[in-house]
Amino acid sequence: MCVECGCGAPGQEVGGERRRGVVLPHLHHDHHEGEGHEGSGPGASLPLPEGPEVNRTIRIGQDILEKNNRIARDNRDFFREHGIFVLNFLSAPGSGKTTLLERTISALGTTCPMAVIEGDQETSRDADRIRRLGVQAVQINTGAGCHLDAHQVAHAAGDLELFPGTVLVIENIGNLVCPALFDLGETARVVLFSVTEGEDKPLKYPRIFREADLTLLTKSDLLPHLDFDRTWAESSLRGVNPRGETIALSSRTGEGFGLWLSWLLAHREKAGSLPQARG
Amino acid sequence: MHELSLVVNLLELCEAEASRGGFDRIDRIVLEVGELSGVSLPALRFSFDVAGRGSVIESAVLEIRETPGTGWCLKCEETVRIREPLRECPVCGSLGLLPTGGTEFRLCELVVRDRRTLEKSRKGVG
Repeated sequence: MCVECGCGAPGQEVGGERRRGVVLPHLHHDHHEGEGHEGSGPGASLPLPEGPEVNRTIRIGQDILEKNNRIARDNRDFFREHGIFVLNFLSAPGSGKTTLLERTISALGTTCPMAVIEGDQETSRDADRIRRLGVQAVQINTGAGCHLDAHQVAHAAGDLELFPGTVLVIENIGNLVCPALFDLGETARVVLFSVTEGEDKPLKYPRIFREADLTLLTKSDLLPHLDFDRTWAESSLRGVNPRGETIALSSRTGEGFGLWLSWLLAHREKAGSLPQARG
Repeated sequence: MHELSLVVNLLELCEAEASRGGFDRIDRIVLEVGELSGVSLPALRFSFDVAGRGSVIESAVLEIRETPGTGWCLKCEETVRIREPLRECPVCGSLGLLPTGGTEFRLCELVVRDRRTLEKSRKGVG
């Protein structure tokens, strides 16, 4: 049973090996609440003796996102151990995340196993688009939620059949603010920045761009029709994220796709997610 | 509006502490919030009021200790004071700063009200 949400999903497989690959277990079974607390052991509350009420101070010093970070660490360990390369796609709505995924899936064909976790407030439209290409996809609907968290990803990954060497893409909720704070256990973060958004986006939303391993400047085929100052945009990107890489591409024309696919495959290899375990 | 999720996480931490520590009322919650943490303080306080209703944190005062943002300038090779948006080093003006401090978002301490403390303090004095 999942200690985070109490779900005892009977169909949930735990740690099962399938013939050609691994089946992700319910990833977050081994957490222990309250790790690292000082002066407070686990156990039931004690009955209070009679007496006047007084104040006392309890020192805690715990990161408020620790619960999310702890599940994210478990996700990351699991993905690493099983040779799964995980990308967290982040961007504003409408920057072309799903279209980029569709073209990437088509370009890689059968050379690289892929799986997708789609995050949206409502509908399964994006997951349906991915499944039409013959790739496994799980849709998470967050309702009022503005970001995905590590717990949701652990559940969604449990519904996918993942093989060593699989590239698992998590398409986060379209939002440049909140998703930046929530580690999902990904291997790398990819931020999409479409040229129709205006070149000052990295300055206006620095947090999300700061933590990108790669920024993709999407819809580059539209550049001739816009007043977008690419040099200025790239310099503002470097300002908030001096170490990240940037690639300009168009999912419509395929421009820049060679660089993107090379980045993807090289980083998958670097992360040790080689498909040697297949067959 | 991720501040609402953050407050829900904070509430879970407080409830776990209350269960362990055997108290049901918190008078003060002290948080450390870094200048570069990406947390909006007005949104945090608003979420705190909304999400805390009817819970162990309902009557608590929220005390926020802000920590300054600092970064490592790749050109100066020094730690400098920075604020968002991260544009340029305030010393040399170059782009290229790596945040080193001010990204914290931490629960530091709780001031709680219960009866057990008095029993303990009596024992201590006696």
